[in-house]
Amino acid sequence: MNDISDDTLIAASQGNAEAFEAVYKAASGLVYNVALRIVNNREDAQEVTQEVFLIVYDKLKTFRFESSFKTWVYRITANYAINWAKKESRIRRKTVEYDDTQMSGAPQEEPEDEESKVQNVQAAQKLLDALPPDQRACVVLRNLEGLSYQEIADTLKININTVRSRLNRAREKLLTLQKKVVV
Amino acid sequence: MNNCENLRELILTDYLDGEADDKARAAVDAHLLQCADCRSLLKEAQEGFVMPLETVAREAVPAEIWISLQDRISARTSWAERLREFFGHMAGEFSYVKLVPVLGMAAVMLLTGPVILQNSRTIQAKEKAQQEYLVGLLASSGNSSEAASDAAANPIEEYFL
Repeated sequence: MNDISDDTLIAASQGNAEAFEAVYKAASGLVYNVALRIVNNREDAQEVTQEVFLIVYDKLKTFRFESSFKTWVYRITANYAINWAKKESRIRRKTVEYDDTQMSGAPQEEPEDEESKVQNVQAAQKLLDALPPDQRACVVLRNLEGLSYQEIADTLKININTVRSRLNRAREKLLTLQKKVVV
Repeated sequence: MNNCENLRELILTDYLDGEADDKARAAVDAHLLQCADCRSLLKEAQEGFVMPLETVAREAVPAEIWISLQDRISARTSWAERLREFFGHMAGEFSYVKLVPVLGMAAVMLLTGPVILQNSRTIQAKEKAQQEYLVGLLASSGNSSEAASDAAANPIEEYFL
């Protein structure tokens, strides 16, 4: 996420439209990609991103600079996306349709890179889709966003040992699935 | 429990993620040198999910998100403005100064209403009790009037006396 000055955040919290746009431009990449990997569906990720920024718009005036803005945004995004994914998994069992998702807002890639990148995305989506939302969020924050265990704990407001335990269970599950695929 | 089972969680979490302290890392390194199964576990983890997840490219944010977001914010803002305009208009029509006596009267009524109501109920209850007492006395004096004609004044007589 690009750095955002405190002055910009304060101006945005006071209803300054240009400042809010600057906040959006700086943070939307982070929000969209975290949401995308947790809900594992582009259409839902767009909805989640919008909702997260509406929360940011409403709650920015209550942001007290006690944690970093980035941690605050991670927290809102991860929690909203986890709840969304839990709700969605209750409503319908999602199957990731890669061909459809590639058509809805996927970035335009260079032809020579496209195949390997699509394969990477497909592999990641399959792995993440096998995990329940709580574990998926920890894996996304660790392996895709590169957060430390303590940062994940702060973001999700959970104990660091819970982070460790969720990652361990997630990885054991992924190993089991790999063995099933190989067999 | 053998050493592999003891170290499995550590390998799949702190060691894999570079979170292990020096002592734990040295213990795992030493174990890996002599354990083919744990080396295989580590390789499976790195190739099976660490690398595929860490190399996945970040995606560009679709432009329609910002467009929809702006629409939703401006819709909210216009509602907020409408409400402000409405209350501003109301404030112009009925100045707060004019509302002060009305609000004051309402407050007094709210505060004193329950007390007045309670007093009136107490008075009614007392009157009713008195009437019942008198009716009771009259009834008892009617039944025993002849028998006690010579007796001393009964309670009703005492009451009127």
